[in-house]
Amino acid sequence: MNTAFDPTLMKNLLLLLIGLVPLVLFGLGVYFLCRMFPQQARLVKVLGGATFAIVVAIPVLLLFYVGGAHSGSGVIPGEAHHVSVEIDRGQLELAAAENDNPVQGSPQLEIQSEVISTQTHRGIQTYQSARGVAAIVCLSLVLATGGVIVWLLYRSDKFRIVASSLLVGLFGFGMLVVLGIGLKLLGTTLLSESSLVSTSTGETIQVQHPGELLAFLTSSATVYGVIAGIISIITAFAVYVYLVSRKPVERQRSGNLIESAMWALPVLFISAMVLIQFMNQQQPYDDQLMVDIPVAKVDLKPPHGGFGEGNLLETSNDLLPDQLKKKVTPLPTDVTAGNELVSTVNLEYPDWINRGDAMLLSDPENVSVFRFTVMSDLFDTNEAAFNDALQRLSNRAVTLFNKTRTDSGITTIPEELLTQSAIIHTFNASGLVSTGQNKFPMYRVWLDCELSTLPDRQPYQYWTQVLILQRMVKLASLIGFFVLMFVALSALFRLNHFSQRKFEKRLKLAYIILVLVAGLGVMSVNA
Amino acid sequence: MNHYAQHVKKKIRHWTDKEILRQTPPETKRHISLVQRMTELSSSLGLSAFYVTVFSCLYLFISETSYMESLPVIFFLGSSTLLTTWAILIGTKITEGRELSGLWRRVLLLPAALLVGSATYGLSNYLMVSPNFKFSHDVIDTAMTNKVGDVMLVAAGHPTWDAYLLFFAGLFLVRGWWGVADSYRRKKLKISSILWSGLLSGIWVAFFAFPLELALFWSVVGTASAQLASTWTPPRDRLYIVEDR
Repeated sequence: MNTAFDPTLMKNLLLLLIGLVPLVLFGLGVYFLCRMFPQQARLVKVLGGATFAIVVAIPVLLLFYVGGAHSGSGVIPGEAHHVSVEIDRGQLELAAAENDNPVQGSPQLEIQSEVISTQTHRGIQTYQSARGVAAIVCLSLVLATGGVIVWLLYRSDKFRIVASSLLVGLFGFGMLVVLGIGLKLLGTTLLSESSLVSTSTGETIQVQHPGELLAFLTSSATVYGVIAGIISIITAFAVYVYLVSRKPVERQRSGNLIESAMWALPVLFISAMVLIQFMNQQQPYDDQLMVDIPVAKVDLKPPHGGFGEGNLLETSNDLLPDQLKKKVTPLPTDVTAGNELVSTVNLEYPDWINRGDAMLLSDPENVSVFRFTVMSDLFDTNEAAFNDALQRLSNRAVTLFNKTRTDSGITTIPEELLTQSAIIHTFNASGLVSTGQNKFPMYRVWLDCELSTLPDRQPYQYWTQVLILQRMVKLASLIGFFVLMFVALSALFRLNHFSQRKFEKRLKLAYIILVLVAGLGVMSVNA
Repeated sequence: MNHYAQHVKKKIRHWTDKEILRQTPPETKRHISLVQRMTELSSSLGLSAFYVTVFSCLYLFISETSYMESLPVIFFLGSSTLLTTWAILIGTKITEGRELSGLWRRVLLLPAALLVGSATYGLSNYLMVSPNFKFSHDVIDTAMTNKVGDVMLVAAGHPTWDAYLLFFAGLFLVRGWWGVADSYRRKKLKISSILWSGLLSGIWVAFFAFPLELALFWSVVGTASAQLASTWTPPRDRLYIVEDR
């Protein structure tokens, strides 16, 4: 079933439609009353406007605040919350003895309660904050609209033109905010979908997005907010010009061509810059680049694992990542301060390390599969050494993937994916390192890795998903910029015509400011 | 209103709408100021984005995949159709009211067609959408039509850059787009015009291999959006008739 058909959304839309019917009927009622009693028309309008504001405000209040308070904790109903608390067995026995209640089984308490720790909640709804903002915006809009309708109908001087313009600007801003919230929810959905990567066996892995991706989307939202604000101000100004102007003349005449061209230059300049910046990011894809991956030459087989002669403690081959992370080499009991240990462990590197760190094609006929080795630095735990090797692998993966698509927005691949699919073999060595009087074990990890740009490989699949997500945002901003430019241009011409050129320079200036802000915003998103 | 326009108004006062429409075909030569052209064009370009978005989002109703898989396709369909519509609107607006033969009007759209073809091919790569011939093969056998001379139109099951160029060149040349987007067209929205565009693109695809569903989408939605977005002058408001000028 298509995920687009969200039953809650459909229900809300239906409710909205059902709610619109009485409002339309109410409007018609006011209209007919005004027609029937023309002398009382003003009173009818005032009462109608006030009633409309109250009628709309009450359900909005009920829907967003009372409904929101009811679902208070934000926990999905029906979901049990199991909180596991591991405590020391001794404490448990002590507690049991005090309560005369013998404890059986594992010292793991499973406590089922409504809410114990917010950290363990998986059911916290992410839409709470967005809904709160939407509620505030809707309420403000409804109250402002109702108030100004009443006031406008009562007053009849020129000043109401200003008020109407501001109202339209405010309303436009509200609409843009609501649209922005919708886009944010869509972005949340896309992020959650793109964090699921399916394996060849049909399983899915949930990964955490890198921070830079989230930062990119946040910056896009900020740019959108700024542009929405500018659009609202200029819309208010445009409405003002429209309202103070007279009716249009029959035909439109051309102005001075050179002067118009001069005014158009900044707009053309900005739009050209936006387009050129977008085009510059698209580099042609070249198959030859794939086999030419520059890497720093590293000696992958340092003598004695890089620990110094006689200091090697232990080596292990082909441990699973989880086992490798937990592995600890105990400090030999005969090592004391000033006592030199002479280890008898022989270091034999596995064959795959001989392959080196060059990203060689594992299959010469297939330019999409690469095999290479990465080596970590020395660390005080195996886990830290493994993570360091994983980071190097991630950098290599991004370097390789960037050869296929040049405008990638991320520089790390989630480690879950690399651990799951890119590591073929592991090797680790531990040895003694001394700093003055102290001696302690340190660890180094080697990983035999295989990366591929075949579509079904998880790291590449994830990288592609994120890339498409970013590209969609960039493309949408580019198209949005040009559409805004055209719509604003149309409004400029029409308003200039309506106002018989009284506001020509100010309108052109407003247009240039709008295009400038939008252009800079789009360029910052695409940067 | 100038003298000629007053003369026309007076003359057509007793005509039926049908007669006015017959006397004011899209090819009618008339004066349109630069400001008016720009106003109408910018409105059309802005409006077309709205219509194309609406039509492209209909894909969600037939898609059975997740948002993450559907949205790139929608973006590809939407942005490519928008480019097509913009090219048609700009091309027809430039030639509107001018004394040009049908052949010239078609030829003038050819550079736009090549640009749109290249851009659409680039968009399919950019959004990593790979149109294929699965649907086409259910309807048309592309074995005989997948190359023109030495130029391959299909590679590894996907249309090539040449195929895009050829398709858009054909779409812009074969269809008389000035009859679709000119303000002196017969109706604001003509369903038969949309169907005709779809039929022509289908026939074109039968001779030069290209994914049928894409061809139909671009031609049908492009025609509908161009008609809805472009200005239309009602018969009684037309100030120029063909017989006098």
